[in-house]
Amino acid sequence: MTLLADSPDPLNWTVLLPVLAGGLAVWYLLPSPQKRPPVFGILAGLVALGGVAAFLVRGLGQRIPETVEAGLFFGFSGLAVVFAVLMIINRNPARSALAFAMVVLSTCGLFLLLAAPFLTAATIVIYAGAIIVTFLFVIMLSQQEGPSNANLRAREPALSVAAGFVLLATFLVGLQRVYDRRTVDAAIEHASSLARADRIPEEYLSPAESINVDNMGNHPPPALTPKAAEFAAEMRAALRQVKLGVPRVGDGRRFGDHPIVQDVETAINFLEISGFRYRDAEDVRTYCQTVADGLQRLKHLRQGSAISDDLTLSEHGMVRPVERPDGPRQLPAANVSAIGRTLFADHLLAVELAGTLLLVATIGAIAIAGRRERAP
Amino acid sequence: MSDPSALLLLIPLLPLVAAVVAGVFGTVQRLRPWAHAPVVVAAGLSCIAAIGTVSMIETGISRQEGGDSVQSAPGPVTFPKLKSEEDRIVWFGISYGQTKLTADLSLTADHLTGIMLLVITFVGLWIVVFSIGYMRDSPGYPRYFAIVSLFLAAMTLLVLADNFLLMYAGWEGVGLCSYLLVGYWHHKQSASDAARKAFLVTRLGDVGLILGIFVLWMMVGRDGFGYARIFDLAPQLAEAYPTLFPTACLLILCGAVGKSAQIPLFVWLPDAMEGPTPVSALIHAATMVTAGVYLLARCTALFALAPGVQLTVASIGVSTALVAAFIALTQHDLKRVLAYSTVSQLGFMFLAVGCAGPVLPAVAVTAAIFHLFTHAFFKAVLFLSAGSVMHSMHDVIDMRQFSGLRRVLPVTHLTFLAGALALAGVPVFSGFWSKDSILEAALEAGRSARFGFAYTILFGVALATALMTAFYTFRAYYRTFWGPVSMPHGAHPHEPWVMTLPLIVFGIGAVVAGIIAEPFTHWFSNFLTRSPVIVQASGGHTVEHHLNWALMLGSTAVALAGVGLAWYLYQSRPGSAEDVAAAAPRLYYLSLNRLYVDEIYNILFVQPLTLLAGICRLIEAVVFDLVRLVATVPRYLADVIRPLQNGLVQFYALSMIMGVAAFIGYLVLFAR
Amino acid sequence: MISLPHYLAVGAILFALGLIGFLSRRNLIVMFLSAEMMLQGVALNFVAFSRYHGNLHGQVFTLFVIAVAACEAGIALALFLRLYHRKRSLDVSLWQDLREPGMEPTVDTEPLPSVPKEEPLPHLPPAGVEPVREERHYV
Repeated sequence: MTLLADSPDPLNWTVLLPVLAGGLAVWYLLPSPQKRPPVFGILAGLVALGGVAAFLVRGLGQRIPETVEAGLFFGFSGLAVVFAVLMIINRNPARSALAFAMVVLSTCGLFLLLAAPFLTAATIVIYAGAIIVTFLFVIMLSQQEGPSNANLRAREPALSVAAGFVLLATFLVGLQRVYDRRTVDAAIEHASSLARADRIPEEYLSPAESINVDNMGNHPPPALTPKAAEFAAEMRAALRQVKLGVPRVGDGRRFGDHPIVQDVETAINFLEISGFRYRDAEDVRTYCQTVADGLQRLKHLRQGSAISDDLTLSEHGMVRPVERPDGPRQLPAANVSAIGRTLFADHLLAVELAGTLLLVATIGAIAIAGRRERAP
Repeated sequence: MSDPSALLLLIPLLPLVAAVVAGVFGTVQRLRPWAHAPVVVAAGLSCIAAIGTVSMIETGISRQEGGDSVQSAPGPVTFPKLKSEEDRIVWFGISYGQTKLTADLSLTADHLTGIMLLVITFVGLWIVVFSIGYMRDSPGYPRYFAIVSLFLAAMTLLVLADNFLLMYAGWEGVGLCSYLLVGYWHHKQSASDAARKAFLVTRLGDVGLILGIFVLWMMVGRDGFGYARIFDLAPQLAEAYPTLFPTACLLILCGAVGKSAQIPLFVWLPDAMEGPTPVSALIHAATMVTAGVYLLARCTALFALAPGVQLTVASIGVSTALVAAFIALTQHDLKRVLAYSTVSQLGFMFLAVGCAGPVLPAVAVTAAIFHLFTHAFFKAVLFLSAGSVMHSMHDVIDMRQFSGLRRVLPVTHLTFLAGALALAGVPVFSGFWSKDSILEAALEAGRSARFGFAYTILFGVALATALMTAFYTFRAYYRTFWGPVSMPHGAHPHEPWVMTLPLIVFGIGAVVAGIIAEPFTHWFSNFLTRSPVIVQASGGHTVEHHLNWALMLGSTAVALAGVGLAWYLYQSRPGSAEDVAAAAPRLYYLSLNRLYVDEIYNILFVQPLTLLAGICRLIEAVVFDLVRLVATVPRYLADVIRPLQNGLVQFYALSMIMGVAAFIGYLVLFAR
Repeated sequence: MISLPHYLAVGAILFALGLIGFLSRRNLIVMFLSAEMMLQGVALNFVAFSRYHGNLHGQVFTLFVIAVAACEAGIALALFLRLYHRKRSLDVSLWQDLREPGMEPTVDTEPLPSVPKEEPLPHLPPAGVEPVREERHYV
C-alpha cells in the first residue's frame, strides 16, 4: 500500500485517508455533552476534504481535464460535502435546515453540470423552497428553551460514524475497482511489447545452467530474474483485477474460472517455470501474446463491449450486453419537453400513482396535524 | 305455511327467537321493563301451537297436494315430511368406510310428545306470567326471561326430537338453563355453589346417557340414532346382545336418574331451590326434572325387554320416594319441603315406569305420565304459592318465622290448599287418581311371575311413603297458614293480579285435572296408549279400564290418616310435635340433617378427589419446577441479547445499517 | 469532461453523511433532514446515470423521488407536531415504549453543559404617548 498508488488493493490510501479522517472529523464534531474545541475536528475535516479531492483526481484512474467544468464540479461538490457535514453536526436545527438548503443548492449545481436544468429548477423550488420553509415553520412551532437532549446529544456517535464510513469506504472501493483500468492497461502493454520484441531482453532470462529443459517439472522452478518476477506479479495482479468482473463458468454445481482466465494463468505459469528460456524464443513470445490477448479480452468482457459465443455473462443465463460507449451520450437539447414526453409516454401510470400519493399525503397531513389535542 | 307439520318447528323456534330478542333488546334501558313481552307472546303462541299439534295428532293433517286436499290418518306428525332421501335435514354426518353416523334434524310429535308439549308450554306460559310480578324488582330482569325462554325452546326440542342425538341436544340445553337459573343470583355464594352442584351432578348422569346412546348406535349401526329404527329392532337386539342390551338400558337409566334427581344423584335438586321460585316451579318441579321420566317412557320398548333393569328402575324410584319423604318430614324450609316432595313424587313416577314389563307397558307408562301430568299442576301451584308467600314475607321462607297466613294471603292460602290436597292424595283431587294408578300398577306387578315378591314389597313401601307424603304436606300447610298470625320483619303481604291469576289457573288444574282426564272418561289413557312407542312396547295388547275400589279406599284411608296426623300434631295440639321429636331424637336428627347424604358424599367422593387433586398438584409442582428449570436456560440466554430490544428507534436503525455495512463490505472487499 | 464515477463518489459521500446524521442525531427534524439528504445523494446518482446513458429515465425517476419526498415531508412534519404536543420535546429518545418488558428505559447520565444564556436583544423604549383609556362610570 503506497500512498496514491495505482494498485488494485482493496484498501489503499486513496480510500483510507478520506474515510479515516472524515470519520474522525464527523465523530469529533457531532454534538456531545463534552466540551471539545472544534479546531481539531476542522483540521481533520480539511484533511478528509483533501483526501476526497485526491481520490477524485487520482484514485479513479480517470483523467480530470483542466476545464471550467472541472472547477465547477469541484466547487459544487466541495460545497455540498462541507454543508452536509455542517448540517449533521449543527446543534441548532434551524441552522441545520439552512445548511441542508445549501446542500440542495450545491447539488442543483451538479445537476446543471449533468444537463438537467429542469430538475435543477424543480429541486430548488420544491426542496430549497417549499420543504425547507415547512421545516422552519415546524422548528418555530416546536421551539425549545435552553439546552435540550435533542440537540446536544448524539445517539451512539462512534458506532454510527463507523457504520456510515465503512459503507462509504465500500462504495469508494467499488467505484475504484470498476473504473480504475490503469493496472490492466499497463500489463497488457507490457506483455504485448514482449510479444512483439525480436528477442527477449536479457534481463528476463534466468541463468541457463539452472534450467533442465528435458526434465521440466521434476525440478524446482528456476530462480527468476527480478525483472521476470516483476513481470509475473504484474500479470497476476492485472488478472486478479480483471477477472472479478468476468462470470465464472460451470455446470451449476461447481464453478471454475473462465477458460480465458485459465489460459492466461497457464501461460504465466509456463513462463515462470521455464524462466523465459525455451529452446525457441518463439514459444516465449507466444505465451506473452496469450497473456496480452487474454487480458484484453477479459477487459472487454468486463466492460460489456465484447461477447463470445461460449460465454454467459451471468450464472443464470445469457444477458444482453451493456452498450457502453467511451463518453457520455447526447441528451436531447429541449430538456423540459423531453422530460415531459418521457413522463407521459413511458411513465404515465407512475405519474398517476405519484399524484394520488400526493393527494393522500396532503389529506393525511391535514388530518394528523389539524387535530386539536390537549397537551398532558 | 303450506305444510301444517311445520307447526312443530315453530314450537321450539318461537321461544328461541324470543330468548334472543329479550336478551338483546332487554339490555336497552328503556325496553328493560318490557323484556317479558316477547317471552310471554312466544310462550303463548307456542302453547297454541302445541294444542294445534295435539289436534293434528288426534284428527290427522289435511294438506294441499296438487290442488287436492289430502287428509292423512290420525297419528304422529313429523317434520320435515320425508318423501325421499333428499328431504332429510342432516344435522351432522360422518361417514368412514362402512360406518356411517348421521344425525337428522327432524321432529316428531306422537301422543306422548303431545302431552309433554301441552304440559311444558301451558305451565311455562303461566309461570312466565307469574314471573312478571315475582321478578319485577330483581336485577337482571331480561336475563331471567331470556333464559326461561331458552329453557322452553330446549325442553320442547327435547320432547320433539325423533332421534337420540337431537334429544340429547335438548337435554343438555335444559341442563344449561337449569344451571344458569339456579345461579341466577350469582353474587350469592350459596346460589353459585348450588348451580355448580346441579350442573356437575347431572353431568354424571349425562355421561351415562350419551354412552348409552352410543352403545345403542353401535348395536344398531346405520341410522342408529332414530327412535323408530331402534325400537323396531329392540327384540332382535335383546336376543343378539344379552349383556350389552341391558347395559345400554342401564346407561340410559343413568341419565334419567341424574336429570330426575333419583338416588344416588338426588342431592342437587334440594339445593337447586336457591334459584328464583318460579324457576323452581317450572324447571325443578313441573318440567325439566320429568325429562328422565319422559326418557324412560319413550324407551319403554327397550326397558320392557330387560326385566332386571326394570326392577332396578322401580327400586330406585321407591327408595328415592321413601328417603325423600322421610327427609321432608322435618325440614323447616317451605321450599325444601316441596323440593323433597318433588324428588319423592318423581320416585313414584319411576316406580310406575319400572312396572312396565311385569304389567302391560301401556298401563304402567300411562300411570307414570298421568302422574307427571297432574304433578305438573299441583306442584306448580304449590311452588308458586310458596313463591307468593316468599314474595310477601320479604324473601323469608323458613316456616318457623311465620304462621297464620291464611288471613293475609287468602288467595294463596286457597290455592296452596288445593295443591296440598292433590299432593297428599285426598280423593277427588288430581293427585289421588294418578297416585292411585301408580299404586295399582305396582300391585299388579306384584302378581307377576318373575319379580313378584320384590314388586309387592315396593308396593308396601310406596304406600307408606304416601302416608308420609300426606303428613309432611299438611305439616307444611298448617305451619304456614294456620295458627296465630306472625310475620318476619319487613313483610308486606300483597297479591298482585299477575301472580294470583296463574295461581288460580293452576289451583283449578290441581283440583280438576285428574278427575276430568282419567278415572271416568279415560281420555288421557285412550289418547296416550295410541302412541306408537307404547303400542309397540305393549305388543298390541290394549288396556281394560277398571277401577280398583279396594285400593282406592286403602289409599284414601292412608291419605286421610296422614292429613289427620298432621292436623293433630300441628293444629289440634301445637307443641306435641316437639314431644314426638324428643321421643325419637336420633331419627329426628337423621331426617332433619337429610340422612347425612351430603356429608357421606363428601367423605366418599369429594374428599378422595380433593386428596387426589392435592397429589396431582404436588406432582405437577415437581414436574413444573423441572420444566421451569429447563425453561430458564433459554431465558438466561435471552437475557444476554435482550438489551438490544431497548425501544430506541435509532438503535434499531443502527443495527440494521451495521448489518448492511458488514454484508456489503464483505462482498466488495473480501469475497473472491 | 468529468466522468461518471466522480458524480457517483459525491453521491455516495452525501448518502453516507446523511446516514450518519440519521443514526446519531436525536432531534427528529434533523433526523428527517438527514434522510432527505440521503435522497439527494441518490438523486445525484440517478441524474449522473441519466447523463451517461443518454436517456431521461434517471431524471424522471428523480422527479418521482422528489414527489415522494414531498409527501413524506408533509406527513412526517405533521407527525412531529403531534409528537411534540405530547412530550413538549423533539427528542426521539423519549419514545422508547416498545422496549422489552421489564427493561429499564435508556436514560442519559452525562450532564449537559450549561449553555450561556443568550444576551437578550435590546428593546427600544416605546415611542410616543400611551393613549389613556377613559374610564366610564355608570351610576
